[in-house]
Amino acid sequence: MTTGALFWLVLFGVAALVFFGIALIVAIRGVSDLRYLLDASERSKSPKEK
Amino acid sequence: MNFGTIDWILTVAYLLASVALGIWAKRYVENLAGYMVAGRKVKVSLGIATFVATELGTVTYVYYGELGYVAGFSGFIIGILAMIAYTLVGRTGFIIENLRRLRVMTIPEFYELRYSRKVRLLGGIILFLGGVLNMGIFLKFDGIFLSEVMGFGPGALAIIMTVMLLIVVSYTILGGMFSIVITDFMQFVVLAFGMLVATIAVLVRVDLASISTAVSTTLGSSGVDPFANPRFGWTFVIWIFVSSLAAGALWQPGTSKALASESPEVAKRVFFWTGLTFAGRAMIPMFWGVAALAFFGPGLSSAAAMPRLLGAVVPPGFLGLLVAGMLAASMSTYSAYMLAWSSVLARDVIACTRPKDFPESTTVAITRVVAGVIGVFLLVFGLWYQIPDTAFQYLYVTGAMYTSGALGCVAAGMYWRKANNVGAYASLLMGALAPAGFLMLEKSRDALPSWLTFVADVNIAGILSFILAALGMIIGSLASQRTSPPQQLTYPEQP
Repeated sequence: MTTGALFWLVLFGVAALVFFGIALIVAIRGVSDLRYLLDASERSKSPKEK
Repeated sequence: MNFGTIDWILTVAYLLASVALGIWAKRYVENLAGYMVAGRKVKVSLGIATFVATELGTVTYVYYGELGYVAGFSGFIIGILAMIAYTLVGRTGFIIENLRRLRVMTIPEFYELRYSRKVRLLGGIILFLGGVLNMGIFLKFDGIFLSEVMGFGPGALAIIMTVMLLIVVSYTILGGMFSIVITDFMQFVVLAFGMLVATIAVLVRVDLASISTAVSTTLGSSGVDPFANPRFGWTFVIWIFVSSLAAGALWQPGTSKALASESPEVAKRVFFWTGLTFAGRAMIPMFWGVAALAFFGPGLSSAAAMPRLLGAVVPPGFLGLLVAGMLAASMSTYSAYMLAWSSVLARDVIACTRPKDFPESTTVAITRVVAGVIGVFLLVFGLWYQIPDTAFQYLYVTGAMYTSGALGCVAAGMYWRKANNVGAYASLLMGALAPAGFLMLEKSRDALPSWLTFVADVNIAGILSFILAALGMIIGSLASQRTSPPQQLTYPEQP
């Protein structure tokens, strides 16, 4: 394997780990953010709309 | 045909879930801010999910896969540049923090606050044209991807793509940004899982040593050194970095995520963390493309090589997951782009031809009609337009039509007190000049006189657009300070 290829493959490994790591955290924490968005929107509706 | 019964069940179930969720979200839209920026109540994790989902469409995989196949590892530099640019925008709050503080819903609204309603109209027209032309090739590339992965002919694909577009148009028209944020979250999870499945399948079937050998034997040093690759070089690197910085701050579908954030601080954090994923966003599909070079060798259609590899290495059952992931990626991108461009046409073009804005309900109605028309345009344009150079460069040059002038207008409007109307007009028009020239003249490259051939070079056209836009703003403003005195911004109190 050439040094150039090794350099880019290591960078690819790090970039892929960061991508999937953030995706995992966001998938877990995003559920509560989604609940907050829907609750806040429900609260902000006028009584007539409810 | 690569697709089995389980694959079909997974794909259809996913499409039905998307429609149901998107239409259900309509109940939360109670006014214009709800429709266009989800009531400005989006927190960090949800903001990252919707931002990544918007910026990752099937077209993204195809153009990055294409670059991996034709340029080897050299193209990986694009991921690094995008990551640096977006994290820089997030860290510093460059432009996005102030836009969020001003509580605008589209970027051209800023032009009216800082310059005039007519500048907003011109900025809106250029943004709409650049944005819709940019989006015009998405469907074509989705078609190539699905045809290769699923193993169908182009006839069946036209039907699949039309159905997908109808689904996206329906929930975007009904639920606006609320539907987009909610469906984006599901789509983000599905697309990330699809990418993981594809990456593992590629790594299992194609070993790293053969990838390295394929790159060095086929491409030599230009496969690992972006500065030695004739497709890239210094001009390309500078253009892509400046362009990523401008797009990071000013590309309406992405910037709308900052405008929908709960606060300016949340907007900055969304951009920073999303920026960190941008190296992977580019390098993962490029890696699949480089692996396709090792697996098949050179000589295939560059856009089709990577999808064909995935169709060959991903096992049945998982293929349905992968296609669901790719459809998720496309749908989230289409919906955000459609809403972005239809909002701009409704609020910044049609409304700006009148002295006063339309009532909120009329604006929402116009936005919905325009979103439908954009859907029809996508089908027609995607079928007949032949893309010059690589898809990646086409997307960046059409994006530069708007982002170059917008960078001049918005950055100078926020950070330079002497920026005025004349400078804004000059910046917008001169920024659009070089990319528009490229798109018109590129097809008659051979007939051009030798002194004008530089206009048909995509990298030069791209970088020239930013230089001309900056010069237009500086010279235009300085030359007309007396006749057109600049007006300054006032920021509203945060609630």
